[in-house]
Amino acid sequence: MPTFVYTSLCDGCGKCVEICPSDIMHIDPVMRRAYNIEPEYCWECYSCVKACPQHAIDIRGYADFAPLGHALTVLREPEKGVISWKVVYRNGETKTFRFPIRTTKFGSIKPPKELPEPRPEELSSELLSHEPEYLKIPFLPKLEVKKA
Amino acid sequence: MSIIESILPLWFYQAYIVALVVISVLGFAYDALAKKKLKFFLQERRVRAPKRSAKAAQKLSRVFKTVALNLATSAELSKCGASRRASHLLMLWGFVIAAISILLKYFAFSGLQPLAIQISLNLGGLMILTGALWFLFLRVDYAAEKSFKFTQADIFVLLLLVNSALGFVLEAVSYTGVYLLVASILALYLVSLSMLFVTIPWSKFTHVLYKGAYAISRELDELEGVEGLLPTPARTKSYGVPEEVAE
Repeated sequence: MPTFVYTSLCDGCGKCVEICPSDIMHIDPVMRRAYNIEPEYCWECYSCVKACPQHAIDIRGYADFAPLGHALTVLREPEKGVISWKVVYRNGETKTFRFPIRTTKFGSIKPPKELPEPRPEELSSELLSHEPEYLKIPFLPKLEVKKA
Repeated sequence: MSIIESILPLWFYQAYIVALVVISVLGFAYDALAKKKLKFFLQERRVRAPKRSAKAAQKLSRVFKTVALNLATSAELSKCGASRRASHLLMLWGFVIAAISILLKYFAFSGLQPLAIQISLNLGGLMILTGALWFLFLRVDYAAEKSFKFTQADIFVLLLLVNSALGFVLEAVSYTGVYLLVASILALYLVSLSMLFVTIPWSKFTHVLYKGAYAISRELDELEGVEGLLPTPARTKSYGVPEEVAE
C-alpha cells in the first residue's frame, strides 16, 4: 500500500524527500507540503512514514481493491527505544503493535571511526575488529576436537 | 509630523488599514469556502466519536493552553529543528508587533509616532526581515542543493521580506526630506503591503489560520477521548522490550 500525506500535519521539512529511495516524495510548489507524486512507483518501504517527525504520512491501498477507511500509522519514540504501529481495519477494529528498536541508548555504540585503528598484525588475525573486548568476553571460545 | 504623514492624509492611512482588514477577511473566506477547506474540516469533525463530554470551561482552558504553549511558541516545529522554529517565531511575533504598532500609531496616536511606537515598529520589522531571510535558506536544503528555486509557496515569505525591507528604506529616506524620493518609496511600500494581503488565497498566509485551527481541534479531540490516528505512546520509560510486548 503506498503512502500519502496529511497536509494538516505536514510542516514541509523535507525529511521524507531526503529518505525516499524511489524519489517520489516531493514538496508541493503551491503550499510547500510533502506529497507522493507517483503512488504506483512507491516501494512501500515506509521509510518516509517512519522518518516523518510530525507523523503526517500514512498509507492506504489503491481505491480499486481496498475501499478507504483503513489506516496504518506509526509512532516512533526513539527516547524510549520503541516503535508502535497502529492498524485500523475497515470494520473499525484497531490493533497496536509495539517493537523495540534497540536495547541500548542512541549514541552509546561508537561508530567504527571513533574506535582506535587496528594494529597491522591484527589485519592477518582470525579475529574480527576489536574482538574479543567488544563482545565483552575475555577470549573467543574454541571448539575442542576430541580424538576418537 | 514626519514627511510620510504629510504626503497622504491621516484618513487615507486609516481607511487603507481598514481596507486591508476587509481584504484579509474576504481572502480567508474565499480560500476556506471556494477550496472547500472549511467543508472538509467540518466533515472530519462530524465523523469523530468522542468517548466523553467535556465542560465548556475545560474546552476553553484547553484552547487557551494550546494558543499559549503551542501556537505562540510554534511548538509543533520543535521536531523539525530549532532553526526552522526560530525563523517562524521571528516572523510570527515580528508581524504581530509591527501590526499592533501600526494600529496604535494611526488609530490611537493620530499618525504621530511616539518613541515607544517607533522602537516597536522597527523591532517588528527587523524580526520579520531576519526571520524571512533565514527561512529562505531553510525552506529547501540550500546547503545540499545550492539553488534558490522560487515557487508559488514562496509568495508569502518573499512579500514579507520585501515589505519589511521597504519599510526600513522608507524610514531611511524620510530623513532626507526629498519629497519625490519618499513618495516613490512610500508607493512601493504600499503596493507590496497590499500584495501581501491581496494574495492571501494563493499564498501561504492562510496556513497561519489552518495550523492553529487543526492544533486546537486535535487538543479538543484528546480532551474528549476521540481516538487519534496515531498509536498511543508506549508505557515503557527505558530502553528494552516495551512493557506491553513483555506482558
